[in-house]
Amino acid sequence: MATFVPRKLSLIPIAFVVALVAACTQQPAAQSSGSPTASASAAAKGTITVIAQWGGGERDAFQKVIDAFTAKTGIAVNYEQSRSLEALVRTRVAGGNPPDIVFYSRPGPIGEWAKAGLLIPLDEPVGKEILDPKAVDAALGKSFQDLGRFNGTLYGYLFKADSKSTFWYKPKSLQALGKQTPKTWDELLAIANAYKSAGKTPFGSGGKDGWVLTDWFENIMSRVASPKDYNDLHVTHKLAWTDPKVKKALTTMAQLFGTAGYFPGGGQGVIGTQFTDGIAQAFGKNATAEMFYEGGFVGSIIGTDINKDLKPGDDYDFFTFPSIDSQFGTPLTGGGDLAIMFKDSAAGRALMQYIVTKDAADIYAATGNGTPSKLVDTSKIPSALAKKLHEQIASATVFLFDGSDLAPSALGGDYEFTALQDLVTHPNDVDRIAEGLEKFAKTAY
Amino acid sequence: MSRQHSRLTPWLFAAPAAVLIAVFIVYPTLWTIRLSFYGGQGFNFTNFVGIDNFVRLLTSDQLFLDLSKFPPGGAVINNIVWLLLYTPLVLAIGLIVAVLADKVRYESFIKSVIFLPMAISATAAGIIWLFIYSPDPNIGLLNALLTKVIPGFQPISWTGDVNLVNPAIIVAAVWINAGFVMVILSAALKGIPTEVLEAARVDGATPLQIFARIQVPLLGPTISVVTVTMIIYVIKMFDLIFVMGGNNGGPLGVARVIAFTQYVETFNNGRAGYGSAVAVIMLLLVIPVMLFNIRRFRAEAGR
Repeated sequence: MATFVPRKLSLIPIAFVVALVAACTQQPAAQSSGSPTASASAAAKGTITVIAQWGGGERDAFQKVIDAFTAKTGIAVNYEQSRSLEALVRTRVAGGNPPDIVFYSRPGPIGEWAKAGLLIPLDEPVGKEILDPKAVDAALGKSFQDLGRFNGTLYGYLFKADSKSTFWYKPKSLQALGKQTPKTWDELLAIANAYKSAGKTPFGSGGKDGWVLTDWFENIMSRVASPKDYNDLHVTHKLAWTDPKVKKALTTMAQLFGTAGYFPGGGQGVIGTQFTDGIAQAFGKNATAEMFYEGGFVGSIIGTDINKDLKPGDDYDFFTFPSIDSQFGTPLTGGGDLAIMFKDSAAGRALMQYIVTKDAADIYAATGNGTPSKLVDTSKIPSALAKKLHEQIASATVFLFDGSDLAPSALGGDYEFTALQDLVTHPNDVDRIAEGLEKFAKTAY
Repeated sequence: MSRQHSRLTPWLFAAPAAVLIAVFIVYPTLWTIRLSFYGGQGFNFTNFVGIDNFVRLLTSDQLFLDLSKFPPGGAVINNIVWLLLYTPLVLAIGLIVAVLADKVRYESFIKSVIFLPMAISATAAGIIWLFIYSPDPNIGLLNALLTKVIPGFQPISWTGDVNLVNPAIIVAAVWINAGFVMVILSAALKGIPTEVLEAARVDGATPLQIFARIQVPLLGPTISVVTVTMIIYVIKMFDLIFVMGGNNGGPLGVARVIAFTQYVETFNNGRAGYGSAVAVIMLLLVIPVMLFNIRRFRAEAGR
């Protein structure tokens, strides 16, 4: 018996492949980027590739620094944005085609790459350093420098720093409620309850992006335990996840997310919402929530991407993440992006040297983005909000770097995300989740 | 001399393909298998660990295989869920549309509309469905519809709920591929001689009988081709989950499938050896399907 697979069938896969190829070839066009000013004249001076995670307003801000650099040196910069930066960089390194310079927010893998000999040292050999140690000292305080230092050698320069202890709120809405910005956790809960009884949802959050939840946890952890405990938990894992101090932090977090009516859709709603959608819950055109906790960069995202009609200071502002246990106060937790070099070239060196300068810091600070540079002329920061953010970082006595970014990737960039999503949807299972984290952490260090 | 020449000729013809397969498939496969016995940081053969990667994957990695609870979970189980839900669903919808469209005047229009999602990349399709599933009824079509139709309905976070995220992504995949199944089955349907169908009608067969007793059996070989294609699609499944489930593969990582775990462990977590072990397990699962396919091709060629 003959089978009834007709001849014309073979055309279908071909048509499919053609469609696929067409779809594929379109993508690079949409992705291609780079400064428009840098084309013909720059070819002679070389082109360098820079990869960073910044998109939207953050990307525009960095583009201003790049444009100034290109105008000054004639070196073209090809900026690539990646949501999965670590995967991209690892693949390119393994394939023998590393990018020139990467701006990355996780010192954990940066240390790993430095140890593997993949990065160019920035302060060696003496006398022929890429970055003049005096220039670095003039720009960065020691604690900020040390984030890019591994075994005594400087591999990363902290170009951008963001406070992650900023709680965003609506001044008008809070006034209408008759409340002041909270200094303590109890005051925060009182505000939340007042909103709740007024028929409003106090908090928005986008925990589908797991790092949002790790940032919540780190603020709470830094307020119920000492900075040493905080670092022991994340950097060295000398402190167990099952330690009572850690469990206290987990429990505090679980109780907040587990309280009905605090978040749109409860814990389940939180983990179904992406980060920027979470901001929109509180500050979008159809806002359903009143406050939003995440880092200082939220301000510039509200202004450029979420709702351009809102006025900073009047419609949105921030207070410092309130203290929980008075003996630990309100340490600043924060993140940042370090510039690291995979490939040595004159053009690459020029960019590294440029981002350390006062010019670059001023241009970047003027966009309202956080910079740790001491060289910034604060009078040039146009918005009061950006100034307030800069001062919060500059005046910090205790700066704790984002713990999940210090931890190994498998834990801080993967397992901890899923574990904390588990926590906010199962607030009664603190013990089980702490044990899961501890068991995983034992295999990760 | 001429005999020798003719013996060489087939090899010459096969050589380009053989070289490509050796370079791009055989060599990387062997390399991956070797790497799966190492820690493999930086894709180097350093830190030999023997079969530790496999032991850990199968016994203590809850995101890969978790038999400790009921129903069991993890990436392997998710692939099975996909096989059981996605494959029959996409086949059934493709088949039904192919048969029904055959009977109406606007056949080519209907088929074009259903085939259209095939022309969209998986990334774009995933983003479209993320909008549909958004928990905010001002954005999410599905929740907007349900809140309008059902009074007092609370918007559901379709991709944020551990129980709903897998079916939600499977529906999107069905939407993408039903058109592909439909077009192939529809073409095969056209190949069924009309005499057979007329004879059946003359003998008094109902449309349902014609469908079940004549059309489906005659479509058998085509259905099995499509089924195998879909099974391989499921085992390789990655893109939709990465787009719709986010970087950690759904809430609590419950939407992870084997290929997703391979990606996360290799590239995100930098554990190339561990990721390679996942790839080897995936390879072992694909081999029986491939063998089945090859045997069937041979059987057909022999006829």
